[in-house]
Amino acid sequence: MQWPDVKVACVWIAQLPLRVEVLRHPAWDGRPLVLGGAPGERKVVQLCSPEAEAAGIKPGLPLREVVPLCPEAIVLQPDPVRTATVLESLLTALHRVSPAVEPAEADSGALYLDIRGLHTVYDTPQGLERAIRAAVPALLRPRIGLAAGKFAAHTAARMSRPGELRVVTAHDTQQFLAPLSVRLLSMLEPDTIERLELLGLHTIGDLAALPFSAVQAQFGPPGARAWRVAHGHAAEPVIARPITTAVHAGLRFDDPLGSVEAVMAAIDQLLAQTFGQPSLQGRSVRQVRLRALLSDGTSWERQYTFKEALSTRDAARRAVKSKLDLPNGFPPAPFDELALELLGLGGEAARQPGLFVARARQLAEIAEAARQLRARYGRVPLYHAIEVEPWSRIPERRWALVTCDV
Amino acid sequence: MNEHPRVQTMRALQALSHDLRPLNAPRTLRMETDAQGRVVGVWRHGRLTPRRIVAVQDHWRIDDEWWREHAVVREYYELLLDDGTLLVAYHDLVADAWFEQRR
Repeated sequence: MQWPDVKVACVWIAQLPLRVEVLRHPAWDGRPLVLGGAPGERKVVQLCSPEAEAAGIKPGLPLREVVPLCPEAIVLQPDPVRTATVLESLLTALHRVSPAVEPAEADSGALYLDIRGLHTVYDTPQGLERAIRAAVPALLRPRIGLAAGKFAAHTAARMSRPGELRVVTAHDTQQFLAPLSVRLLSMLEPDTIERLELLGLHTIGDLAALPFSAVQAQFGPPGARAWRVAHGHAAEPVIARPITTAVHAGLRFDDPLGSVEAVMAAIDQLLAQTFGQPSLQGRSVRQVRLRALLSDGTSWERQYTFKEALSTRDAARRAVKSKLDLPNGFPPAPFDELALELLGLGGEAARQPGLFVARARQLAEIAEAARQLRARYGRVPLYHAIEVEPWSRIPERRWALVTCDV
Repeated sequence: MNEHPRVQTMRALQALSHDLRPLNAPRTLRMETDAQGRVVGVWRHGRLTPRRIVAVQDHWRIDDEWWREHAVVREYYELLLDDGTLLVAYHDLVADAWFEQRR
């Protein structure tokens, strides 16, 4: 079979957060799964599996109504860290199929592969499909679409059944999209789609039948983009995710860590591990990402960007601690696992502090430290050295420490 | 054992109030001697084992405050120990006691 005129493959995983949970608990495959809100969010259904939908559950339904409708439903909390980890591993695995892989926006569950030139590696599209399926766990039920552009490939993947490959060639794209609803045009805002429907334009083919200038005049650049897509003009390339160098380390705790001091000690250990790695020698760090699995079964993730590039463990520790000390800086449950990742690696930068500003700031910081020490110990255990008899031949007479009066 | 006033002064200096602390205060030192009474090793404060003296690198003497009640008479030695440490020690000739102190 000859290679069709296609340039993009889309791997789409419907209901990605739920499939990630199935991957974790394979026995849940085929059972009614419901994703509720995170702690602090509205207690409504955010996502539900087809089995749950068959029982009458739908997104937006209050969680308290789930069990009466479907007693065997499994209600889950969002776990963005685990979802991101699975997505990350998929990206890594798919890089073995194509060098250019683009993840779509979070939670859409779509990944695009640039497949130009891959006909020299795989004899048929089915060969490529096998390679993709080998990279993606079957429990995620990936759907695959090949087309000339990203939108058509995504739509083909969404319309294919699990285990089926849908191929839409460049020639067939306009015909393939024409009967589909304008609601699929994700580049348009909901109010624009509403306007299209009010105007009687219900399908992509209806939009494609209009003159380009009229659509552009009415709906601006997003409208022009939708019109081009409707005509099968695929100009948007697959933008490969930039390869970023990161240094990471992780810890798993037998007893969950609940106190700030214990977590800071763990972070200290992770910083020692990461800053001790040869790849960080003579380099600075701009960002840190903390990911944790909590003892209540949820996960927690924070990414902090430092005000300036840091090249020492102590400086990074202070910066992380100041962030964790902020209100809501700490997760609501103890840590089971903690991973730390240093990002934005660069060359070690020299610092040029101001001559007088730095001195004033330093004094203010010392005064603040003294206040905290006085509050904790009842006195200020800070001293500064003064000359007493610098000319003395007796060493202990030359200098003395006096209490720092700040 | 009754301590010489100079040693007592040193201890008092170390235990001064929190308002004033001498810097580079001497710390007591135990010297090991051989059968002839020659100093051959030092036992520093807080260490588990004594160290042998390998060489004397420098030597000087201080005679000061002889006009006061408690004169200062010290023989300073810069000692090279068997673990490679360079230690400055002095023999307080008035109190007949040994101390370590940085230069």
